[in-house]
Amino acid sequence: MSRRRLNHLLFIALLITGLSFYVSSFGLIVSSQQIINGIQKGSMYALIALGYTMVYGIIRLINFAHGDIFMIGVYLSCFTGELLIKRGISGAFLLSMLVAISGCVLLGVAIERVAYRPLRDKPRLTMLITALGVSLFLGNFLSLSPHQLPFPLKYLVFGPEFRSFPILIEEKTYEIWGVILNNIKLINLGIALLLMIVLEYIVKYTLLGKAMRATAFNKEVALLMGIDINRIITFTFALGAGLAGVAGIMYGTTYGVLQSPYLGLWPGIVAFVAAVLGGIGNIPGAMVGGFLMGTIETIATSINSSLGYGVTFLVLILVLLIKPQGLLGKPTVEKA
Amino acid sequence: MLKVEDLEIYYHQIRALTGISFEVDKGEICALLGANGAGKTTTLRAISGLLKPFRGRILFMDREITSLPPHEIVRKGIIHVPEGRGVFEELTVLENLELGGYLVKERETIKKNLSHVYELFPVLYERRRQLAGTLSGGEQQMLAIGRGLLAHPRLLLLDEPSLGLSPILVKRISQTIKRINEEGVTILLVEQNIHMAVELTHRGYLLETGSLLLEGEGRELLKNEKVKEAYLG
Repeated sequence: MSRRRLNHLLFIALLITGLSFYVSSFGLIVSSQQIINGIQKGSMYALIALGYTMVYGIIRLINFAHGDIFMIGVYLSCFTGELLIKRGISGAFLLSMLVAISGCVLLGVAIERVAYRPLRDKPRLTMLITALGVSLFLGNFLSLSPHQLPFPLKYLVFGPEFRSFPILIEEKTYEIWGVILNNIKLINLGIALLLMIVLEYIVKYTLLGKAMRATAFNKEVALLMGIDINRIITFTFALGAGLAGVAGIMYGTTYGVLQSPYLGLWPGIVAFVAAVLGGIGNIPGAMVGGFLMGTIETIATSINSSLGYGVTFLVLILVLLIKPQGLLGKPTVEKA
Repeated sequence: MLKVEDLEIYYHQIRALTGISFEVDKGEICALLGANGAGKTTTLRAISGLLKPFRGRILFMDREITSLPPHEIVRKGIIHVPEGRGVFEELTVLENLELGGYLVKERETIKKNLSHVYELFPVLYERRRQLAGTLSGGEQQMLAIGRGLLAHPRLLLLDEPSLGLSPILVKRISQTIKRINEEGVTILLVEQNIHMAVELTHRGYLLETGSLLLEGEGRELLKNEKVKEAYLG
């Protein structure tokens, strides 16, 4: 880690400490409990942010549909979990996660094929608007009520109503030094960290990962190496979507409720801000950004329950004003 | 070995090549000469599949490769070392070389090719862990050529290997190109540095504004009036 990067991290750490002192002067204390909660929430944001940042790195697209892929991960793990528990099949947690991952991977890859690939040579704005369209379509279509729809379609939608997420893991709480932890949060955090290490390994040390970085750096030269860049782009979307699927089951097990098929919107936005904060296109940046955003949001929410929303956008505005390349990103000149 | 027939290419609305035909024989170093904008790089980009021709055919070892995607063309053994070197600056020297052998499946072959490249360019071995972006211009050129060799090419397309290099480096690079050729790699060379080109090549073609002007043997080309005109104005 270079000294400059270290400085930025220090700066953020100071900012958080400063903020917590400020808050505590109002008689509210930023407890280690909130930091732990923030880190746990942050691991979910980090997994989603990785998908944004990898896709941006390789085709310079902010994939706005990514939050909705995450939402589908939430629903798929919910349905699978319900089914497995009803049938009394053990291992519901792992199986639901696998279904969520595979469903999200298929969807992510399909979206790229159908909606983005035909537009790759068009101006970048075209693809961006398409991404918004895909996102709106998924949220709105899946929110339709099943009994208003004709036969084949009614089995494809989730419906607009509240659902409760099945209990996949029996909750156990522990108290260590006054901090309350539970096994679900620990499992989720562990899985997230493990996946980040695996991802870092893939990108850094495998030939496929090297080809990914090469394609992100210069597509034309990558083609001359014999790299089939369509395959690399598909692989990138698959990786990002799979991580979103894992984030989906994390969301379900942590919050226990599914509000509606629009639920991907907010985590999607926070994760996007996290990716920008870390430096869009930068993989470690997305991880750092995710954890920071989780912590910031948790602390802000503890002051006032609706403050979390505002603070997220405040972070986005501040990053874009002060350090648009993000914490770990390199400054670049935007080409037309 | 390589046969280009009546190749016509448009860049948007502009005709970049007006239907050129030429051949590269097995084992030779063949040059495409011509001033800026004559269509040399365009020709190479069409051969390696980066540009789709409007008309014409490209044959390699008697098989048509005109409509193949670039990675299929690489698989056939045509390796294009692009102009301006085009190394992956954010990857290490070793990673760049490994990507050169992206389609080579056998680890043994990669190892053998890697040590061969290190032997040709010892500086790449010393700097193998450095980011390619930190190399000097000459070293980047060596890396680009070395990376091309990792794919075990049958035909190497070299685009301006002397661009921006000092005279000493130009001499070293051209010696290496000669050696690569002697080891059995056919080379199609695009070069601005005409002295380097005629020293190296067995045969050359002169391009002017998208059409083929003439064909000649290495040193003979230098004496030709048209060549003088194209290069000296």
